[in-house]
Amino acid sequence: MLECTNVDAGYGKVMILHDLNLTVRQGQLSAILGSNGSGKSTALKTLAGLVTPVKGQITLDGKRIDGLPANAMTEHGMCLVPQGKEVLAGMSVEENILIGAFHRRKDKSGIAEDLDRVYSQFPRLKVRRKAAAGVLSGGERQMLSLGRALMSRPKLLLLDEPSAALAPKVVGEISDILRGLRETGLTMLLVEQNVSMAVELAEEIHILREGRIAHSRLNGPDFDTSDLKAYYLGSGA
Amino acid sequence: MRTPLILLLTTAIACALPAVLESGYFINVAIIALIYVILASSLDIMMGWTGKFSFAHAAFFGIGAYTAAMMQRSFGTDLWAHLPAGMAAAALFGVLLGLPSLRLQGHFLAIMSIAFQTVVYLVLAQWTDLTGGHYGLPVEVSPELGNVSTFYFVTLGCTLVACLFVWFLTQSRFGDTLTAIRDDETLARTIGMDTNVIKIVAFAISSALAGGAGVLMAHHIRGVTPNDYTVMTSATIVAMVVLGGRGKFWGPIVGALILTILPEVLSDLAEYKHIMYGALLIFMIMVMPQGVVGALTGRKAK
Repeated sequence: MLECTNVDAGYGKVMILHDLNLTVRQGQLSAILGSNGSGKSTALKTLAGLVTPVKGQITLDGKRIDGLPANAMTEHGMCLVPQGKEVLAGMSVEENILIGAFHRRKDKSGIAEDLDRVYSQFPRLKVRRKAAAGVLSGGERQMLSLGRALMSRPKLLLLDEPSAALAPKVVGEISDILRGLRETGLTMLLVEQNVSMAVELAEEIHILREGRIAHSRLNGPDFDTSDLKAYYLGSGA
Repeated sequence: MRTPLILLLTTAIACALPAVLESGYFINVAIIALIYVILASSLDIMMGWTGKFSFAHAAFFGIGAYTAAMMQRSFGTDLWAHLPAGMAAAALFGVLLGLPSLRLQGHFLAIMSIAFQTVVYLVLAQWTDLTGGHYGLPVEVSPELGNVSTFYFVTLGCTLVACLFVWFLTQSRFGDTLTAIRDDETLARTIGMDTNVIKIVAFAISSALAGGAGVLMAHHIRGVTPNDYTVMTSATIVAMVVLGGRGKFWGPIVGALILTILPEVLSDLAEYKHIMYGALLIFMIMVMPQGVVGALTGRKAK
């Protein structure tokens, strides 16, 4: 579904990604793991159009999307849930969710349907729908970010560290939600520092180091996390 | 829909002002206050709603005013021709200032706008053949608008239209996109908003309204001189928005009224006007950063 070939990208003269190759298959939840500064967020930003690659190509369902501006991505069916659980603080929860359907604003009945679906997936947001988004807790904000992204009817969801800065119990809730979304057949690419969460959820795991995919493998019952630890600590290369 | 109704009611009360205020002097002050209401409300589209600080609003104000003066000199036109032309000219320059805003953030954009303001001032003051230099240009008012009360009603009408426009703009879907850009521009883009186009359009609209205010000003004081359109004027408009409350419909209106009427009341201290503005701004930022209207309507969590 998403194919990223030989992509180099960075900021100004500083290149962060070198020859990045990555494939996300339809209906799969893939995860990119890596330590701080390994280029995880840059990889996701490049896929989402926030950083323009200098080399290589990115295709989504066979269509080239590299070089397109970030705002065009939702129309192509890809939506980024940015890091930091960002919400539009001055708007209510419901307004925040609805604004996720920005690019298909004419489809009133579809939007109402999707809003109901988001509320059934996130009952807590329904309870707080009139509250200002700025007063939500961290976990609620993350749910709001997810709900908002779902309103764009994405084929592919890019998630930038959804577990960051959340209490373990809330991380569990977010994991449950992502598992639920995976069951609906939604394709997701997850960038995480939280290894146990990623290993629990993802079907394929990529390890990013110094802007390159150092290791990719399918997850399974025999998945050996000690291997992963070695990559993290740098001794297994 | 309560706000537009209150606005209409306020305007209706304001209609009675010329009858109450017998002296032409007070009507003059009221006209200036209304012009500043347009300026502050339009600047708030940038500052309050889109979150982009600009110290160039007086430049657009001046561009509108000079468009009126130059059009009259060349073609002998009147206010009704000047209003659309002044707004269009200011909008054009607004797009020009909007372009760097696509790349610059925060303080850098503010500095850029000061530079823009200075360049416009220098052109107005130095390009004598075109602008009349420091002496400026005269503007003649058509006889039917010559009466100060009549001009007051014209200005009141324009202010009402401008304020209603700002209200409906900020309550519209376009207003939502502005708020989204203010709160988180990256997020706005990932939602699918073309933030570049939106910012340019916001700059253009904001500048166009300032240009319209400039046309009114040129007709009101019957001429233009560059010293009315300096960075000090820009700073005053910024002060009005901050004092009243950013991103609140009534904020800039209240701020503009306070900061035009207060100096008149304290006219003995007029020389110290800018010191007072400075002190007031510092006080406001420390005590009620959300402005007078923001403080009165309660805090909104950020």
